[in-house]
Amino acid sequence: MMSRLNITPPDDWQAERLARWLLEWELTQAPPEDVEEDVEQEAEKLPDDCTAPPDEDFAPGQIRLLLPRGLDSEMVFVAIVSVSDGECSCVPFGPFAEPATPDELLSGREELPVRVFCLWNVRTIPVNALPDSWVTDHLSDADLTRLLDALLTCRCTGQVSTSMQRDAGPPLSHPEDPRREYRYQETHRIDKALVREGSGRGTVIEYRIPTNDKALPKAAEDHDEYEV
Amino acid sequence: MQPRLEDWTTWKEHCARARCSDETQMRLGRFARSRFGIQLQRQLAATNLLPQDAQRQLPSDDDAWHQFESYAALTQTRQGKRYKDWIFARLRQSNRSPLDTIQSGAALIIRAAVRTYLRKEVASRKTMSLDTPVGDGTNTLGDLLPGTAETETDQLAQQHAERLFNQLSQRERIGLLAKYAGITLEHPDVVAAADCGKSTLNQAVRDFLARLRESVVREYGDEGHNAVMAFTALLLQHLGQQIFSWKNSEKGLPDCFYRVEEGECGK
Repeated sequence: MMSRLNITPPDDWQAERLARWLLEWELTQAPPEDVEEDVEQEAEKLPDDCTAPPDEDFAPGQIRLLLPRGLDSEMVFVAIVSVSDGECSCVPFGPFAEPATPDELLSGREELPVRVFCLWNVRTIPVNALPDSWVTDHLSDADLTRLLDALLTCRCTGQVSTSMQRDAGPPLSHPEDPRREYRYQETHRIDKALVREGSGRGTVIEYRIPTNDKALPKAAEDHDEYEV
Repeated sequence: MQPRLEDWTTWKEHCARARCSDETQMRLGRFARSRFGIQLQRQLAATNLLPQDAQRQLPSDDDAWHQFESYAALTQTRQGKRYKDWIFARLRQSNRSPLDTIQSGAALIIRAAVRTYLRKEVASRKTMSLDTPVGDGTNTLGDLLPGTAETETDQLAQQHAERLFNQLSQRERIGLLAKYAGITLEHPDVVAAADCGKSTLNQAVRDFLARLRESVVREYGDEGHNAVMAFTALLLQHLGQQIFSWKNSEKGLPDCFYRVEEGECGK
């Protein structure tokens, strides 16, 4: 009898990547540590503010660590992809070592807090509404170009190009897939982290990649501007 | 042997634990090992994906401290170690004691470092069966992964999804929309829109998913287990698109659904 379903089961790498991602997700579901209040506090004195001042000049390629917002959040790192007309576009790094979905991409770096770009969570924000942050490192020109290329492809297709698929996450289909809850939580985590305190309710956070396509270098080596 | 506030400020100032006094090094190392142990125990209890023999030995004080620092540092420069500033900047937002605030920041980093440590357990395993249960065991890894379908099969899945969507009650649509959007069924807006409690809504969605699986097995059961599983996942992908199109045209849905969109996610 001829088969009616011409369907190829998922590739092994997808199953393996998803299994590794699910493990990390399950581990984050562990209850947080109970913080014991220190009873011997009388000798404690607030140290003078010994933290480095935030870095002010925003430029494409910077990897920034946002100043903490609230006491229960882990560190948030973002990559600046464009600065133009008073707006800044940034791509957050995900909290896990594996890309969750086809619109998350391995950055090519091994340091865990900056291993995965969450392309779907890109934000364009007025520079004066950005929260304070520190520059911690820089993407190479090649990595920035690759990131911009991935963002553009993702905008059109919802996933990275075929040549990058092995560096991205597996597709999402099931309504009970934990990656859906993850994306909802991650949206809110980045919302919270990316709004400057006191900037008011009018602060615009847009979910789009840089609109100034002229400023985006081509993926090819010549770095000519796109024609729009 | 708890660290003192001055141990942390000395560490921050000297930029490395190894440059601190022996006493400070010992107290900080013990702190890291203790928090590492607590997190290791809690995280192992939270997953079924690791084999029982994954109970590893607790690292030494020095190793635990190394895991903490090597997780958080991007480079070995002062700029690459801004996590230290991050830990101390939390003081501005806290009304707890400085020591508690600093240590809870370090503990958050250790929590992530333990996740990384345990992840290596799965990363080292070569193959993963699609029948591996995930989460509460209702679904398997294979249930979550659609296969790659030829055009005709993709159309079959789409037609099947349309048929099922048209049979859905309003409550089932709300429940599925919440699930596809990753919103908890406990959310007050979801409960109000569905006009029932979380358990009833969850059961309605589960019953629907069971009916869906049965309908696929009835129609395509002779195609084999793996094909049925991959086709069901594909069908659910199409159903998600139907649900989100419905959301975009439906008036009066609660605010929590505003802004949630179905990513293309591989289609």
